Amino acid sequence: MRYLFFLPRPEEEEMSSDDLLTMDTHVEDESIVDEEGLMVEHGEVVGETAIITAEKQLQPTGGPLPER
Amino acid sequence: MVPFLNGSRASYPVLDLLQCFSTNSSLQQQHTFNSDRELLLRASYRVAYLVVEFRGSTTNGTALFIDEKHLLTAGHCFYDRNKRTDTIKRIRVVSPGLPYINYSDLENGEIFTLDCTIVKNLFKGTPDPNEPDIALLHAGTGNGPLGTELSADLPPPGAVVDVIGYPQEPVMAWLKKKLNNIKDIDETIKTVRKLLPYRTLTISRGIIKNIAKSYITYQVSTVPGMSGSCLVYQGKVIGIFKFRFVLMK
Repeated sequence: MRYLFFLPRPEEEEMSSDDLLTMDTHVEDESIVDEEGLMVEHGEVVGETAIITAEKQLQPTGGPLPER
Repeated sequence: MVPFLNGSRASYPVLDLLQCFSTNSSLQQQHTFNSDRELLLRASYRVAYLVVEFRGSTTNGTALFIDEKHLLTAGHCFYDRNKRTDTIKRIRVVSPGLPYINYSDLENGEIFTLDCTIVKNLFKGTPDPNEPDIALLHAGTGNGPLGTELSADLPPPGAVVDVIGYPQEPVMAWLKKKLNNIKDIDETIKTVRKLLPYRTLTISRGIIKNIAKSYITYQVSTVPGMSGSCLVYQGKVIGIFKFRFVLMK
């Protein structure tokens, strides 16, 4: 219909917080201090990380960090 | 050169230090968690998920039991989005060392929590990067685990350190702000979820870059929610995570 009546293309709106809530992610309250950061190597996020399981084991989830 | 992206905080001297990262060969060693396993586990049992309920919003972070009654965390966790502290309704920590926080269980009161009060918050909400961002909490009538060992011994630049805390899932807007040169945002989200799974007790390992008067600069991947995490060096907690670690001394 837009093309039939030569209507202008609607402007793309930025996602709102409500939009984000319906996606596969969620919104946390903003903090006044936003200091966290991620290491990036060749355009990809990297890290050397592990989780602590219910069995009290360390289960690596990433790394070791790439050699420099 | 390996950039460490810190968004709008470009004025912080840490960025200059981090730009020098490519000349530092300390990362060439292969890190494993096995050698420090017991020390890290011992520290992790004192780490608790922090819930700060304000009027109209909630903030999550991480706190560390330093003795049965007291915890340390980042002071900025107690400021709401309008930089107010008088809107706090309730401060709680979840049972320390819990591997995963099920938010539904938390909301439904099916997880053990301790109500806390602020003993002292050194953070005043100013933009001064030298302001100590650390707060002391009291666990009220509850009893936490025996405290972890704190240390004022400074690690040398290049030392391997670990941050232990509970990441929150970073939202798209945060990732876009932090990673403006990323190739694929969808792949990045997957990677971050894998590295730092949300509400999961997680260790992120990295390198000390420099020691300043009252803080340490670092190279460690972290996401929101890890504010208040402890910094562990050789099995001892030496700081609380903000962005630069606030030292114990």
